Amino acid sequence: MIDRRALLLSIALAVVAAWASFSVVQFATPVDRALPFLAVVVVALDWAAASSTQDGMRTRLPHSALLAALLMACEVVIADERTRLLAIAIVMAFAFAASFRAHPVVLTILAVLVIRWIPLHDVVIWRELIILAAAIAIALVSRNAFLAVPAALFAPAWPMKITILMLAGAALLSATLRRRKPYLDAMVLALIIAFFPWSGLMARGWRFFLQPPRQAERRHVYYALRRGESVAFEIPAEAESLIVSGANIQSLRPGTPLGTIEPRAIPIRVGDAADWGFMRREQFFASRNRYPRDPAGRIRGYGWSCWIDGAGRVLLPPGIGTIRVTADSHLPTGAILQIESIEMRPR
Amino acid sequence: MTLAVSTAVVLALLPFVFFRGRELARALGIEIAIYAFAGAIAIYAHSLGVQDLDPATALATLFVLQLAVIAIQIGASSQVQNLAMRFAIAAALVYASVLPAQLRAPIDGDEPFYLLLTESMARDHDVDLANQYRDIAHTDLGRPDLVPQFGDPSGPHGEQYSRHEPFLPLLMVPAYLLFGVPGAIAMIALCGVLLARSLVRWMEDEGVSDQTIRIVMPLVLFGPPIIYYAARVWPEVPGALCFVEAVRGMRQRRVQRWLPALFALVMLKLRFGLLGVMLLGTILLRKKPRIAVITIVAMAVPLAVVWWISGSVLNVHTWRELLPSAPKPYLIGLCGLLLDGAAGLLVQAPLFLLGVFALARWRSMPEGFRLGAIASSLYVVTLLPRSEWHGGWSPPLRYIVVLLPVLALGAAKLIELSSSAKEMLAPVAVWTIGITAHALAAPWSLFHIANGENAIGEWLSAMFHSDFSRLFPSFIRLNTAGIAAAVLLIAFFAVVKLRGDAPAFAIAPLIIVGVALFFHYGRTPADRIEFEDAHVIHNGGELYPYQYQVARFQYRGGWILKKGESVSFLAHRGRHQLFYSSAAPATIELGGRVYTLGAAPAYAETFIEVPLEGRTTLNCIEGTINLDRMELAR
Repeated sequence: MIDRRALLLSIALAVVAAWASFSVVQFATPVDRALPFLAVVVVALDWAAASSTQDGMRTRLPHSALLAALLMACEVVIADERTRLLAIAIVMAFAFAASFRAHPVVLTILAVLVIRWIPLHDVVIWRELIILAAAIAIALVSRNAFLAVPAALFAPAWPMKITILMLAGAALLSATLRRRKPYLDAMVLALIIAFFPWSGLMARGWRFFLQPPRQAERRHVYYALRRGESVAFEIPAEAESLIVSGANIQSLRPGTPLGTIEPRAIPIRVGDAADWGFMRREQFFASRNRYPRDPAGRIRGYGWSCWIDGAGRVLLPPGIGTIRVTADSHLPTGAILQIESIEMRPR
Repeated sequence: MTLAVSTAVVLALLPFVFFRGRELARALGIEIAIYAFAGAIAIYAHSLGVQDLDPATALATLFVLQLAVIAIQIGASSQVQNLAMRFAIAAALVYASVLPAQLRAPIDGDEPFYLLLTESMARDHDVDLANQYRDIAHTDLGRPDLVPQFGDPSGPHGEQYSRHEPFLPLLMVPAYLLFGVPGAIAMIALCGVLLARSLVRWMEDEGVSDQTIRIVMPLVLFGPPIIYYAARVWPEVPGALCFVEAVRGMRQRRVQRWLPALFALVMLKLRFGLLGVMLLGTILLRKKPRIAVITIVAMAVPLAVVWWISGSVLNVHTWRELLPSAPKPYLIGLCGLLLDGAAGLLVQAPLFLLGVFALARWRSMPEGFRLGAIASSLYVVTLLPRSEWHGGWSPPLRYIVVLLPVLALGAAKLIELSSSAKEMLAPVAVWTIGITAHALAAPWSLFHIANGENAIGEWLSAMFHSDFSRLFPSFIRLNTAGIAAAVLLIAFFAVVKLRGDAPAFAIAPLIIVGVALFFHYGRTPADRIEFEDAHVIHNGGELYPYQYQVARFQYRGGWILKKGESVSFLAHRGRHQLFYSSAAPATIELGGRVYTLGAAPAYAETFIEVPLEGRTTLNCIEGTINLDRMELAR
């Protein structure tokens, strides 16, 4: 039985929170621009938690207000982008963890919206609706959200057949769970939501956590070599490595030669570098590449569209002088070896 | 690292103090989950290259959050029994972990003087500090810059005494001899532990339910200002303990409890005698002349001790300080103690503001609260008109820490009686968590120069180069926000009085809209520019008077510019009134116009024109000028 007064109060508060959050948005990332939506999610979570427990909405309202206020404070006071988004994500994680007694379906819907629907302009509605529906089904069957939300997070969306198979497997597994485990819900949701600004990275690039790419001073060269092509250029004395990636090489297996560096015949293989966009959501599942051994890519995009490019680092011997890079003559048609930049030794 | 480990050990032990069986398992599980979550965040922040996280702040925040989560579970548990002993043990654990965090900053304010007196008593068995000052580099204090305080009593043969009463140092002597300075501070923490036990017992005696005690006590004991003073050398926490024991003893009519407590209270600090005087009045009303005489004698002993040391019964004080003055200072002091952004309850310890609202429901309050409030009245009335009502160079709320147990009792009862008060607990708790984490991460920030700003206002102002401090009520340097807050407080008080409750549904949207408006107006130019404030970009120049000037708040602060130096700030377009002082004529330039200002050894004012809205630079072209403030002329 829905308490209509509580619902009206929550809607009013959600409107106020959305307006206030909208008024403080000052950065252009999709996560910043989604601040009003996040404020509404916070209020909805509290409403759901209050509806499922003995708490009246009156006692939950200040929680929602405080969390919305914290979101606004993060937006305004933290200038550094990654720190700010991380802070916003932690507040959201707290909101989900604190609402662990809410109905698992509500938790699942809101969590999936947060991890997969930001940025909204990247969302392919019918694919996402299927995933959302499957996640709801898992939550309903298992009476918990801790399986439904990870399933939705890792569901690839491209290709859809695989997604449906994955979700069906998760639904079968969830049928074995019949007891409500709110604390497990709280923990799993908090852990996932805490990284929602980069949920795509979490879903597809978990090695990023163990081996984050490092960035040093770089001198860009931007050469693109088709099979058999070569280029010679000068390497500064303080250079340490060459940053390389591939284009249209996502079907190549790790270890496949991409090219060589002369004079010392240093090989460049798939694994030293990967296809530049292999971790994009549309390409990842079809790709045979893997995260580079010594990654040098940059994080690109936000939310579930977030990915990291496949650039890798090939170490150069000190004092090598002029080098010639030759693309392997057995590369497929259309495949390109990209020499992005020369990286200097860290000072 | 040692601090992190000791903190983790304390947090691991705390659930064992309060929980058993499944509740204990759950509490430990949640604690481990929070560590796992924090670890994941740390790894992720590292991977993302987030570098803004200060380790001390992160650690303090984690500690306070863990503490808060345990407190929430204590509030929700119905199995916890024997609350007084459990809270005392919890306080011992928490204060033990807070102590090393506080010692990261040098002891400051009156603290080194108390410790110097302790050292003198322990080593020389006297209260003459002359030899300690002569050989100050070799004391245990770590403060080689220490000199006698202005107005400290001295003897005919070069003796140098402290203005501070000797009872607190005497209490600390045994611990000091055993463990040095940390031991002395641990003695104060022990008083904090006893206060925890005593306060819980008092609340139980006064009919506060166990559930309310479980909810309120963590905020009282582990929140500001008790947590500041429980691990520092001030007489406030021992004073609060004695005051609780005195009032509690009187309520129980147990002379053997309240008489020693009252004696110790006055021994700790002469000003606490004002509390004793009111309690004495109660005894006289009970028509027990023999006990009244014993009480008078007990309260006279500290006066005699002070007379023996300083040659004056009132030490460095005078009877004149007790005489009523004009109404304005009373109003400023009262509003300041309640609302000031740097030194008031609203910002520094909002839980206790509920205790003030409890006064509006006088008849519903327990008798102990009423007795405590009446006993506090003379003390408060004499404190209000003092220019140092905010505490001087000390952590916030210094002078009213001794009264806070009474306000805690009032707050607890109000939470029981009023659903609005209960709903205020969430915002109060979140704010308290933030303030406590900040204090533990940066203990030196507890000492403020009392210039009308506060830590958060300064931080935001420095970040945006815009005057956020003006949005916090100030009664140290009266501002518009202060007046507005005072009016709102009176209105709120009237609503609580007339309705018996506040319209709670308005609290949540008010918080959201308030924060949005705060950030909007904080970034717009102010009508009044205080040149010493954090939002002003100082290109050279110096603070006036210097930071450690005794009673700096008595001065009109400012910023001194010499030739070639400048200040930059956000200002409204239009005519402004500039307040300045200058020993000789000086020339300034603003917005392309040059102003030659006459000599003004005392403060003078002139009008200047700001041609454009927004960032404005004021250059000193010739001479030296002390810029006080600039106000938009209406």
